[in-house]
Amino acid sequence: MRVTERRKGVAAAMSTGRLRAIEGGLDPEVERLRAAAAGDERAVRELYRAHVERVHRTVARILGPLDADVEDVTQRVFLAALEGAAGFDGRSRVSTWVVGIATRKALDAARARARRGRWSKLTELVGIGRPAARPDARHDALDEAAALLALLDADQRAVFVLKEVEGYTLKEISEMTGAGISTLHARLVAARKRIDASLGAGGGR
Amino acid sequence: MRSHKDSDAVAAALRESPPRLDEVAKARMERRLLEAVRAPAAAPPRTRAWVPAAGVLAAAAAVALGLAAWLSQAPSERVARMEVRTLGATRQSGTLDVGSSLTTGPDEVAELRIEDSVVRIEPSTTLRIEALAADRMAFGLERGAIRVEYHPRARGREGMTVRTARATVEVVGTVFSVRETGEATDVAVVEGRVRVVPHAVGPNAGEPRILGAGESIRVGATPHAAAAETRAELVAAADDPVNAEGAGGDERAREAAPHRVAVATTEAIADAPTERASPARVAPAQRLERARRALEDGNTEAAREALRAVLGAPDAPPSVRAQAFTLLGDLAERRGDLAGAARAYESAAGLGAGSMSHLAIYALARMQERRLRDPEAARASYRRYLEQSASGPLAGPSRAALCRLGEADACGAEAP
Repeated sequence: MRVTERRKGVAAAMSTGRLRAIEGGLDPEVERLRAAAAGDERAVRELYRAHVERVHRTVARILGPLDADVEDVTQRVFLAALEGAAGFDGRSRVSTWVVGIATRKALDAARARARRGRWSKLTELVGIGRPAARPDARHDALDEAAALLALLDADQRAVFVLKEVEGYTLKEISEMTGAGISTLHARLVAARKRIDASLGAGGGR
Repeated sequence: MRSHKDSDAVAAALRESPPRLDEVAKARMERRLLEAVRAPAAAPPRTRAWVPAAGVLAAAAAVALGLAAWLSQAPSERVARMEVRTLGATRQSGTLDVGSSLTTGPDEVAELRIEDSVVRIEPSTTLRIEALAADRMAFGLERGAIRVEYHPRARGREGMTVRTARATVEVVGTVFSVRETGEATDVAVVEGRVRVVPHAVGPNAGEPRILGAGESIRVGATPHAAAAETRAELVAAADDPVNAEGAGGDERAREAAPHRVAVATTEAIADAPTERASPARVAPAQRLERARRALEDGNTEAAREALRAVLGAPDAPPSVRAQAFTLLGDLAERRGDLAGAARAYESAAGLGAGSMSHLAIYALARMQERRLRDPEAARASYRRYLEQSASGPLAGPSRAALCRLGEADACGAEAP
């Protein structure tokens, strides 16, 4: 099954965009981003449809695919992209830039959830709350790989997902997250060690 | 450099099974994104964010409430709810809006629901959504076939059109099918009436035609193809001298027309100039037309009486008798006399009246599937239709029905 959207309009916009790009103007992706930010609904739809799979994948891997916040965070990524379009400098591809926003939003949500987890532990301790589930307990319902990913802290998980799963370079991830390359490298090494240790200790879990 | 075989394997496994984003969630997020983009006109920019900064619990509640509100409220901009089934019973669902097109593969069927109306899409079909307004729905059928059940809430103020390369089918409220073969457009009406407007220019352009229940039409692309189609329809109506004469009389005009219209209908009978046929020969057809009009006026008793008169006329040709039986079957089905309806349809089918008998078989199959909930009998009747009319106007819907009823072979079957 194939669903396409407004082929004529997209084709026309793309063709115009390409022409301008050849003439040394804007990349069509950038044009689309700017048009979307200016309120062009068709451009908003196109931007959304072009990147939603990637954004959702990134957010779901960082938060856990069954996490209740995944959909909301994914939506906020696009709103943030529209609001921040003016600040897009064009040094990276739009897709990389959008994934960067997704990563930051997902990490923000993960940190907020960690704070909530601490609050839950406190309420549980004083007897006014229910036992808190491990933040990523839902990962257990998924396959082993996803469960191993859940063992990492959010920062380690983000760099592991972006580098090892999505294939971005540390330089790109640095631009996305604002963290230094050496920091990212350290997180990546720690993530790998933790996964390897878990598999070694559990005999492959 | 140290090897991380285990973590590499984990990364590979994650790459192979990415988190799935289902079509419903995707469409829901798109809709909410657009609503948020539109929001600044009525509210300050800060209200754009969905999640208030009042804490994560409040955010979760807001999301839940927002979702509930979204699910419960009538959509401000209509979308088509889509469901796609494949051979292996895999399902996909989601929403489509104006400007989208849907292409089914050879082993897929799809269904679009727009409020009370249903568009069933057969395998290997491309359908574009051109309008979904409350007063006007429009689709473009690029290839393949669809079956439409259109039930407007405000009859007369709402309309639907299906446009193909050769014709536009304008609907008031009915059940019909449209097939675009690449060379012709076939339209078959099961219930209600549609207006078929051939896309042609010039003085010889095909005239718009009104089709009623049980009628079908083919709008062809070339004179040669049209002549062949006309002959095919004449074969189907060979036992109907009135119909054959009327169609033959138009042959010269048809040769000149750039877009060909071949009709196997009682409309053709009714439209035939009366001076070409003796009163005795046209009378059953006229009575049939009278019954049809009575049905449209809601006068079922008068309709039933006229239909009985048709069946009592010794000179009524089999095709007219078949239509009368089929209409009686429809009447019986409407009042819940399903056994009576089945007998009437069987009578029409047994007359061997070409396309008119085939239509009765299809009506029987449809009733067995939907009213009697007897899939075995329905499958047998759909198969019977296909055995007798493998390339008929309802062959596509029959194959789609067989696919729907679990006959895997029918799911990928193309019309011969």
